[in-house]
Amino acid sequence: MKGRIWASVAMTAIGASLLAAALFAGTAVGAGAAAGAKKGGSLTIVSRSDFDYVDTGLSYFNHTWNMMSATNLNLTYYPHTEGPAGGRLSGMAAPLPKVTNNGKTYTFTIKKGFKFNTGQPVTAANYKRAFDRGLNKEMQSPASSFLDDVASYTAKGQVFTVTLKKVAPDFLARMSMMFFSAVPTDLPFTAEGIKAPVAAAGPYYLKEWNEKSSALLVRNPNWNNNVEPFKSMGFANNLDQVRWIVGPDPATQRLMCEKGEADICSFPPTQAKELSDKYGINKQNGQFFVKRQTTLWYLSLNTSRGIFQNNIKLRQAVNWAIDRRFMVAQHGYLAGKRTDQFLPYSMPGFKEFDIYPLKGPNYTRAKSLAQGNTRDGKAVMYTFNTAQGPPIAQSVQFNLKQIGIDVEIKLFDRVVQHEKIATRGEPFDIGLSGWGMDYPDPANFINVLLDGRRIQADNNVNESYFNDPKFNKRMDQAYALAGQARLTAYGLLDRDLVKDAAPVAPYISTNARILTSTKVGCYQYTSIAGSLLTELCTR
Amino acid sequence: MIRYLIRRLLWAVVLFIAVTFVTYVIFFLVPANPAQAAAGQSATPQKIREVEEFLGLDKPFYVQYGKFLWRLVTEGSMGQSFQTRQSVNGEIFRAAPITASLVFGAFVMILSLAIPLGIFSALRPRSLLDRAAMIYVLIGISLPSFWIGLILSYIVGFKLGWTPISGYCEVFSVPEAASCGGLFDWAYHMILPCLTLAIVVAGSYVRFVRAEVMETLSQDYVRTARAKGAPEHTVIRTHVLRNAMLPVVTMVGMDIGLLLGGAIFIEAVFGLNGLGGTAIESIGRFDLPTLQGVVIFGAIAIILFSLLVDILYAWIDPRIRLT
Repeated sequence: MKGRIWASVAMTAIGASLLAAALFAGTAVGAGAAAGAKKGGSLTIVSRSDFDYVDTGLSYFNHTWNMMSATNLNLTYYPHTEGPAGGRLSGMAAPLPKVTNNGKTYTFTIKKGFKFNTGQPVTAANYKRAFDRGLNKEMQSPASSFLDDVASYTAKGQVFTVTLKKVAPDFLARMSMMFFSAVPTDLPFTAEGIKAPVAAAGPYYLKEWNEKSSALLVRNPNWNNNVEPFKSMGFANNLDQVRWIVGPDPATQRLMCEKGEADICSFPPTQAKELSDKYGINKQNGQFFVKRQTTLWYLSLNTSRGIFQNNIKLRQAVNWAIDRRFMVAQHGYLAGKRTDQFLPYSMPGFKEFDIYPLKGPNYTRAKSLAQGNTRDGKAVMYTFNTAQGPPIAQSVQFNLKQIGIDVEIKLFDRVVQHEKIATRGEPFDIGLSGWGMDYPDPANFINVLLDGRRIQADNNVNESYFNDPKFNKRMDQAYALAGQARLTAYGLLDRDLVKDAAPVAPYISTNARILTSTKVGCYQYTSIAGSLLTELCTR
Repeated sequence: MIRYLIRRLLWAVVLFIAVTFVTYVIFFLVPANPAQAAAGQSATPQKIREVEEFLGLDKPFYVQYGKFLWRLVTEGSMGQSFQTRQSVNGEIFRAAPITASLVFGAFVMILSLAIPLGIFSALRPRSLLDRAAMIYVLIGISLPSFWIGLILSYIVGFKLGWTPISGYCEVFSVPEAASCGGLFDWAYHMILPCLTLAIVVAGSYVRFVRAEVMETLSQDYVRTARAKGAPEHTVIRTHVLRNAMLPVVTMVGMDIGLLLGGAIFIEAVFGLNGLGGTAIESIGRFDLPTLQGVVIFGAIAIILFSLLVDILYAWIDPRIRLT
């Protein structure tokens, strides 16, 4: 009896702790909003390369989208906070829409109160303009490929309605992309893109952009954190300004951050160990951070020709034979986590399965699968000639030699290598490939990269040329699902693709590694938005 | 003189066409399609064709080259970047002053250091100063420029804090986003980059000046001047320097022209987004118009400075006439 009472007390205590933790997780929308975060001030981000465009209709670079995550007002977004809340798609300018017409029509009601920095109120017409620009031929916008399934769209007052040609449960996730944020209704259709100052309806706006030199983000004077509709978004908006400096190489950036000439920097990958020893990792008020990204590197096994065509056992043998530990080490210290699955760890829907060895090759198993299946025993591997390309190719060459495959390595410039692998009919067997998400939905990996019906003459991203009708059908089925059912289906599809078809040999799910100065506080990062500019503060 | 200039200009045009044509050919030999890079990953063939048409890449290369030349001659336009779609003229005019600051600033340092050091070394061969100068020459020629830059950046900029670590400041129209601006900041930020380039280049100038002065000192007219009782400083200034500097003038002209095409490594180390950095970025992104723009600017710089050198030659040495 006594034991049962104590057990009850213990369970109550545990339950209370969990409840408290859940409350913190649920309400910790931005640690930057926490009491004690200093308001005001300015931080400087230094970057090797400049923004590609500051026009939301044209920009497609990660670090430009990172800047835009602080300026744009989208229909949907992922809250600016680390943890599970940051991965939950939410309404931004409008609550999550009413979905009708058998899942094909989305009706958004834009909340009143949002305004551009120019003072113009945000209405449905501002989203219609974004769509118009995305589809306009003169713009040549990358957004057009994400609007392929849009049948029609209308704007009336605060109501924006989109009808799709077919059901697309990832549509709302796509609406969080920077292409589809509110833009002024008179924003021109221009292939060159607009310049700063850029009118924006988010917490900040881009006041200045001096190409290849600097940029300046300042507060949107029409954003008021104390009232709705702004308050519920929970942005801290501590900083008055964020400045960018463009140009210094990573070694110089590190010195700048340590000297205090800049605040958020990159550094040479070879210095990661030294920095982690010096500053620790992810410490409160620390200076060195390692955060999960939604990027994957893998070997594409060309299933359309040669040694791997109709040869599942050999492809599985490759997965058993490669040394993932060594391959990951070539990316640098803390560059990522070993993986044998196609979905990155931080992708919604990822579920961990124990499929292939992560600690080192298993030649016994690999040989048993390869036996009788090596055909002429020759394979050609295309890799790029910089960074981790050559050592990974050499590692693969050594590993596959152990199971009876002679790999000939061909090195190319990265752009050339990518183009060659992306061309159907190119005579390669193994390609070193990487992919980062456009938006956090597993379809953006599995359907985009492994659906064989998307294979075209060139510019392919399905670099395994994998085309299995059974799996294509499963991709369609998973794509049509929504919510947890969708994520579960994709998790299982991920497992089965890698285990039963093995068109790829994944090896690393990457991390972002960031160095900050002593001035930076409230640092947070999500794989969706990058460094959370709206949550930063100065110490 | 006029005939000479006309002849030189005609040769310059021929040279210009040759350089730009070769750049075009090399670009088209590379197995990559800029339209694919510009269209983005997973763009459909239809989309890529649209981008090709938009960028003018659907025409044969000689048609593209002809259009490029025509546009350059009639409009003075070098086209638009494949990647950013911005005017290449604007990009070149933005980057050129940065590279020019680096190059001209470095040459002030180079000539201030190399000429006196070369002369003193020549006048006192095998002395301590001469040996020290030759050791410096060996180091300056041997060490990679980016290594020198990184070391200076680390020691002088980071450890000692005497100068900024990197960056470029506008002299006029300082933007609000910039962390520095004005003449003093501009000069202060250029100290290390110019010093790095000067250390690398001055070595060969010291050696060259030393050799030329030593050879000139052994000439009969110098011996005659001394025999006639001319003061040593007059001998050096009037008889030796004027003759010894002729080849140096040629070197300076050619080097300035070459470096104006972009001192790539130094620009990279110090975060100077000049022509060198622009060229590297455009090669990596298969951005032919921007690359052509840098090539054109470099070619014009070399041609102009060669012409200037020839004119200076005639002024320095009355025996030389421009014919």
